[in-house]
Amino acid sequence: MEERDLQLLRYVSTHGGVTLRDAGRALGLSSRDAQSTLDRLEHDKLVTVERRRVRTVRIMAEANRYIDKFPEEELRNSLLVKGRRPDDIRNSIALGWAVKNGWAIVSEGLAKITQAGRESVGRPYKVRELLIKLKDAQSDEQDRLVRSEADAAETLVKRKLIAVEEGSIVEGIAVTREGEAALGSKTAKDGHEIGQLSKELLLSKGWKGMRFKSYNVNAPSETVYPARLHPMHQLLDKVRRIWLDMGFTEVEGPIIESAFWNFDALFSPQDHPTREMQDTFYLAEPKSLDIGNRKLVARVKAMHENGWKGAWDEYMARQAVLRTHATSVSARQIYRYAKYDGNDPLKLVSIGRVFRNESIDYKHLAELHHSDGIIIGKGLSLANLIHTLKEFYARLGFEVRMKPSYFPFVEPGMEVTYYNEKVGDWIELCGSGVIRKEITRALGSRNTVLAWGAGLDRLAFNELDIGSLTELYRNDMDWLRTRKELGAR
Amino acid sequence: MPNVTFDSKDIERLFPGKEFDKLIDSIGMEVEERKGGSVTISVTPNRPDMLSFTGLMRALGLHAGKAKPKTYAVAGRPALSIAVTPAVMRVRPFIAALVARNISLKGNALRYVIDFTEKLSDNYGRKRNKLAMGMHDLSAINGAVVYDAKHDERFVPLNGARPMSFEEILKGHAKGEEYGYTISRNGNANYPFLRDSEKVLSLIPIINSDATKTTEHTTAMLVDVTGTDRNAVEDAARMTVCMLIDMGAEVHPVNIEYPDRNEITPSMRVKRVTVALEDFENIIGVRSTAKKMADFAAREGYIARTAGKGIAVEVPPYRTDIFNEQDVIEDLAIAHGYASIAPMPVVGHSVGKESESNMRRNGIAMLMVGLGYSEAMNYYLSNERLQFEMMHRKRGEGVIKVAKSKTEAITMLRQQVLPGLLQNLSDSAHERMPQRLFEIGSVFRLENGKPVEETHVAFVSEHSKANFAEAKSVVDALARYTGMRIGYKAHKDGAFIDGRCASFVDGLVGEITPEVLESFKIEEPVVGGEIVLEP
Repeated sequence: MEERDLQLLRYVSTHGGVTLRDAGRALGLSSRDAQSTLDRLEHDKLVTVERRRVRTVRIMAEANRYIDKFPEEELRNSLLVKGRRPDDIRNSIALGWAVKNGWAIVSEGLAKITQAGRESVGRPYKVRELLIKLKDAQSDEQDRLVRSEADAAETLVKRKLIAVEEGSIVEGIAVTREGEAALGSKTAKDGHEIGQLSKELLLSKGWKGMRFKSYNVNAPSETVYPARLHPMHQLLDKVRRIWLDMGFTEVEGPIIESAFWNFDALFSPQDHPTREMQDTFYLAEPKSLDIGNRKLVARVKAMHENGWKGAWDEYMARQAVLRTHATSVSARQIYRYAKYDGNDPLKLVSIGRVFRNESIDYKHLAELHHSDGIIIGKGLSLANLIHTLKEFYARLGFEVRMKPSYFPFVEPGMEVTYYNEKVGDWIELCGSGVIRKEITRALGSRNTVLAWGAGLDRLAFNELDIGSLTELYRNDMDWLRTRKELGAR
Repeated sequence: MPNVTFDSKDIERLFPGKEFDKLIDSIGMEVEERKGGSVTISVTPNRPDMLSFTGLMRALGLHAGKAKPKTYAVAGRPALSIAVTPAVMRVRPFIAALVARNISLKGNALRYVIDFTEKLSDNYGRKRNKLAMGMHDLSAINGAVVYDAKHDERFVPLNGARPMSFEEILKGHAKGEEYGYTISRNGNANYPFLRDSEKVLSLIPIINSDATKTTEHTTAMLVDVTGTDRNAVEDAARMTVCMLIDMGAEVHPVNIEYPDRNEITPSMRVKRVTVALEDFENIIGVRSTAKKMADFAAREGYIARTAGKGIAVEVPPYRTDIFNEQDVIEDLAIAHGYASIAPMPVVGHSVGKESESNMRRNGIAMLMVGLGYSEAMNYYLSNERLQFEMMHRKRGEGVIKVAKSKTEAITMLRQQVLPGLLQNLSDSAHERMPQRLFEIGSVFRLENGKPVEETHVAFVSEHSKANFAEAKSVVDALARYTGMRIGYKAHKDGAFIDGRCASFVDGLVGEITPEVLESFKIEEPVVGGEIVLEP
């Protein structure tokens, strides 16, 4: 209970039959504060309030200008001196009311004062008198006034100087048994306990010498749901932060990619099964894309024809696909940094979506997140790659093992796996290797390039308590609101 | 990756207990599953030679140091000739063949050999188009063998009950339906087949004749490899020779009489590669010696000798994946063992740097979270129904369409983020209001024939008092944050209520129409907007 509530309750209890107005004045509360305090006490059933329906009056802003003199009184006074042509009288409403009051008449094109007009000077003007009374009156007095001086009140309403509204006033306040009980328990502890600490209490130092009410710390509080980032966003940020900490520069590349950059530049033979429609999303519109630089295309063509001993079809390389891995971004970066000749290695990483034409189930999605990285430089080795990937996965909490594997664009090829207790088997985390020199040469680079492509969605199984990858992108409001932090179980 | 399945008992005899799994792992293959006395192994596509039981066991034996590398050769003069007609040259122009004698196909051997020829034809042979193989009991072949092509002939297909015509097999036999495409794709009405002086031996690459069926009693056979890719045909023949020799057979060459030349097949030519010690050390990151390298090479089947500061190797004829020294170096590393390569930190200065666009996206995400909007993440792949119909919007220009999808709900890349968010609200209808979601992500469209990727931010707010002013405040807040200048203009859009929708430089904001809410089955008012962040 607020201190103010307690004060009012105590005042009402000790001063029988008190009005809200008096109690409010005694406690130094504005009438609005007194009212809201009383409402709270009533809501908490600490008091019962007896009310009477009344009409209350709202004084309009314009009325304040007329408290001293109404415009028709001013006109009347001016007509005492001499008659005026109605056209010269700016305030036609004033003339209207002066005529209506019998103070003036208009004859022979001139407004003149009447006998009644002369006699009214110095006498109270009923309309203005009512306005003055209403302005100072409490609601119950206002109610009486608009009843007893109905005509004048009607005039004020008609002239939009006041508005009459239905309302209620407090007739009586009685402290209930609960109220007394509450009061009893407060006063028992020397009468001064603070509930809600308030600005007033702080500024007035009213809290000094008072006790703070003890709350039930086990009482249930309202459940609130903060707005949050998507868990996959947090996971991607975590991955990104690790790469940045390890000195990598983040790069980006197109999602709609030519088969050239997605496959051909990476030495994937044109009749390779993964290039078939059931695994790759080919586009119907646009069907093909520009693949640029003729010299580059010629070098890639030669790489295929020398390596795979078959014809290489540029038309196939132009086909538009949704990138199946972000290694396409890596290929573009190798090309971009073809002339890089520095002694320090270039460390580049991309984090983005890749697409597979999969039938969707709990562990297969058509859209996945990959993090593909490369290190470009001189004298780089598989041992460097092992160090880099072990470090990365250690920071994600995985103890990993390296084993040989095959991808057409790397030699040697390496797979990073970890032992999943739940599954009871080694699970692949990342494919990697040293980019074939045929590729780096075709892309114009004389450097050694270490490369990897890491699937990130499956990390979600580890970081988030989910049973199916599809849960990640369902955006279930309850899950978004209530899921635990990454890594929590 | 192709899988092969063998009997555990056969493996146990050679590699008892856990040794097998360890070896499989250390050569980069994987045990897929063990079930009812059999083991399934997944073989990487660069090693089709391991699709045979013999080939896999050979590799493991060498790797374990239990066997020594050897040379493989075909014996003596051609055992027979196959004439190639001009008709078949137009359809499927390459053939290699061999004769194997003193072969034993007892126990599981026959099954393993047949499995190998089928897996090789399907994978390395790209569903029998590039190459396909056939095996015939040599004792059932009479007279001259001809590789021919004709519109129709009749024979009893393998395990069949009655003679069928080529046409019937193509339309009514399972193998015909599966592999008939290799012929029809040539647009040629002549089917390649093999015959002797009296009968059809096989319809290629579809099915053999029952008359020359190999059984476990077969001791001599003719193996043919045909195809459209000369290298693939030769590779497969070499692999088969090595397998049969390792099975204990004697393998003899076959003379192929092309219309314009004679060729003795299989060609067992040997490829030689040299590897410098320096290259091995540098690429793998280990210290070694030429002697050690030669030992490593031997453990992966190479006939190796030290040569200067390095080694010279003969590539075993069953290997199809050795382009140059890089591939040999990988094998040396496999013999060395990946697990025993000591990790070495990359030396040199580098400073991490986040991409500018990601920094920007994250800043805006934090702003939206601050405004009480939770982040959603939806698929980029979408469909016209969600993107246009349900939004009561006209089908957009420049839709980027996927050609073929396994999932019906995937037909295009999304053009707008908002429809996905409305779908999310629809899915969470039972959750407590208000519900506020935002998403930052890519959208796609075609402009002048070129694909354009843009980053959008969209947001929705659903609750009983949601109104235009609420949504506009969000846009205002975004504009204050980004410095984007916005002049609102009344706008008409199918998804927004007329008179309660505004467009500005780079976006739209408004109250969603009851029609759209109905199409998403959303029961409370929704306001929202979508803004281009990065054109």
